Amino acid sequence: MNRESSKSALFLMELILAILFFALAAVVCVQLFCAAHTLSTDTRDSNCAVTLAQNAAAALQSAEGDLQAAARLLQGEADTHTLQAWYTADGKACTAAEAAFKLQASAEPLQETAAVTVLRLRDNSELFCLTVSWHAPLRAA
Amino acid sequence: MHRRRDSATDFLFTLTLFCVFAVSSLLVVLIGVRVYRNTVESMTQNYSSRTAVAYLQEKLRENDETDAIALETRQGVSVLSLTRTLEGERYTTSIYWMDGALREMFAKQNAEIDLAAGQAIAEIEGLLIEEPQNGVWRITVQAADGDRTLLFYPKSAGGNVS
Repeated sequence: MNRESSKSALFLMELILAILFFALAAVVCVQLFCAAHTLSTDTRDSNCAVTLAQNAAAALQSAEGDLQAAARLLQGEADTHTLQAWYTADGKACTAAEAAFKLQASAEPLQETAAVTVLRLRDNSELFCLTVSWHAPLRAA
Repeated sequence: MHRRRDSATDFLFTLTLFCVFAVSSLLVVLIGVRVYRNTVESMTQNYSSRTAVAYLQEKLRENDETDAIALETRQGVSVLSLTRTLEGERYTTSIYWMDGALREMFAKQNAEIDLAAGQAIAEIEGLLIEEPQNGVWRITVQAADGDRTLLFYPKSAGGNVS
């Protein structure tokens, strides 16, 4: 009977050690899985943000800094110095309520430049920033 | 009798602990499989559409010359034609969507070649090419992970990114 009890205790001790080791390994693995998931999401969002910023740059240049005209191309809205547009997670134009990303462009008409920024609304982080310049040729009055 | 009961309790406790250990191991493996599968799926889906968009962007930049970019319909297919002069001859790079793939064909201008002979670049579900304003190109790549839209304003039309 004593031998049986000793065997059981030994197995229990072995099992406890194995569980301890497993718990440590599991913590590391779960952290790695979380990091991989976050990295994958961040990469996808960054790619989308770069494309959105490039599109905004192209729209601003084609409109020679006219924010209203650029906003029409980007399906956003604009006032005299700021352009804003909202996009879903896969880069489609949408309303502010259902947006995952917000694109904003602050123009300096005299310098003929604008700062284009893409924000992720979930954590309000800046994903990508781009400075655009254009040349508006002088036209006869 | 008392000892026997103690021994049975020890055995049951050990067995339960072992079962918890086995279930936990299985859970960690399952979580790992799910994360890996999601990452691979996301990468695969992203790959086709991103490759197509990057390819189109580079081709447009490479052929950014006056009157080099045009949208045509050939053999019933919308074709983005990029024409340039090489050693005195005019050559056209035709980019279009056919049979589930983005395709490219490089040939002499006005050469009558079957578009099915074009080289497949990336597998996508569709390609939409528009010119919403004079000089501005809007290219939408339709892929399994959604549509990706690229706006392109050629330098030859006055564009200048910095």
